Amino acid sequence: MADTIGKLAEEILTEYYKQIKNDNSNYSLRHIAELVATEIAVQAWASSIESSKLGESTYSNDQFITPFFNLTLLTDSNGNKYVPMPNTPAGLPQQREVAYVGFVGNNKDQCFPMRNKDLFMQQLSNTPKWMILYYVEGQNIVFYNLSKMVTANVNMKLVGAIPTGTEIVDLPINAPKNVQSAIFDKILGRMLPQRNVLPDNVNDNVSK
Amino acid sequence: MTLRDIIINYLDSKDDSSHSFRRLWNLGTFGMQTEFGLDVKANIKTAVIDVNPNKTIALPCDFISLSKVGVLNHKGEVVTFKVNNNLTTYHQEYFDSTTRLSGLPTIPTYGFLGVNGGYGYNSLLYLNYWYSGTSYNLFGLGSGTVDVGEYKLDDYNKIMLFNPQCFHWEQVVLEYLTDGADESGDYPVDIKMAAAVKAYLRWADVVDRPKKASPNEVKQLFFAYNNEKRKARMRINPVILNEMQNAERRSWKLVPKA
Repeated sequence: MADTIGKLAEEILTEYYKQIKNDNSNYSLRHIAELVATEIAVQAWASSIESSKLGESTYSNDQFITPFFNLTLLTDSNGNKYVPMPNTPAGLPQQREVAYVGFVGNNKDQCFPMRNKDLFMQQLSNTPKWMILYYVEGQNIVFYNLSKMVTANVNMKLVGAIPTGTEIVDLPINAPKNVQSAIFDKILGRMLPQRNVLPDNVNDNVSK
Repeated sequence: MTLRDIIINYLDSKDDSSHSFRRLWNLGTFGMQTEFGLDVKANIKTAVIDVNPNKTIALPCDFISLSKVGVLNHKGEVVTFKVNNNLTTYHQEYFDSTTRLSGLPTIPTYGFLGVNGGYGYNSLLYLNYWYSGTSYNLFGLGSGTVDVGEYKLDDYNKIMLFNPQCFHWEQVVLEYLTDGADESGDYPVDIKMAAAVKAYLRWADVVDRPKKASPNEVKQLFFAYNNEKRKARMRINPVILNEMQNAERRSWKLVPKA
């Protein structure tokens, strides 16, 4: 099976053209690759749901995790420190799509996740300095109580997000091997019926 | 061991992740301040505090309740002040004022109310007995009672005030029960009560989330927590035979025999 998103997209296209021999819609490889990337997030979500049935664990399989290293810490107009998420992750229960946030070269200071709904409680509670909290807002990881003196770069690990790169087709697939088959079938199954239905539904006796 | 260690251990035990830490931390701090700080092991702190010019001290922000306040004797014991709830709280928050009671109605040093020979009084004593038209201080200080200073505790405003006329100490030694937090904001946990704190977290985690556990399970967790708390108290306050024997020997006094 495929090692990159582009390779899997290529396999899907090859299979598609075998079955629709006279199709001239000219699907681009990139379009299929985008569908693959989305399906990876869906599979990551399904993985976490499967895990949650085992008990309280709602995090997904580690093979869906994509690490992003050495991201620059920014400051917004309100003085909040934040880091943009390099790519959109899956949506998991209790925002467990953010698997890890920490600072480069510092394994001691942990960053702990909170949700936007927790802001109310936390703003009215004491937060120790060592407990650096963050929440997700506007595709950013926003730090709740990070000292203004901290300028370290950030490492993060996101679930169901594809890695960064110039060409999506060249990016590695961050999903276990067994779910590639499901992704393959799902995308192909979505494309085939579209071509089997005649685009022209006007009864003019001319088939297209 | 700290509260953070116990929460991490509990998260590992229930196969959970960092996403539950913030909530458990807030539940844990509440437990440390109330259930464990008050019932299992008191966190006593000693501080030397400067007395303000208006003869008050502002209590530390982690003050929960008073253990003792006073100055030291030559043996290093705290000679405690005497509580006097008749002291006025008037202008107690004007810390830099040296005349916080100026302008208040005050009786003169000594004299009689009304005509000569009326109700006698003096300014130093709070007279607690009245007989035949005259006030007296009927009961004096008990034997062994020290009176090196008088204080009144204003718990609501977190101020301790001293007698503004007679109090001449510039610093006092304050021993008090704290909320238990250390300098980093974490809570040190005696290893003898660590299991009880973990059992508390296990119960507090589900008690307000009825979909996570049945009422019977919650009840079981509560019983388990209370049992662990009982065991923690026993571990922290063990019976030491030598101390008991000493106390028993010292209780024998020279007594008249029949």
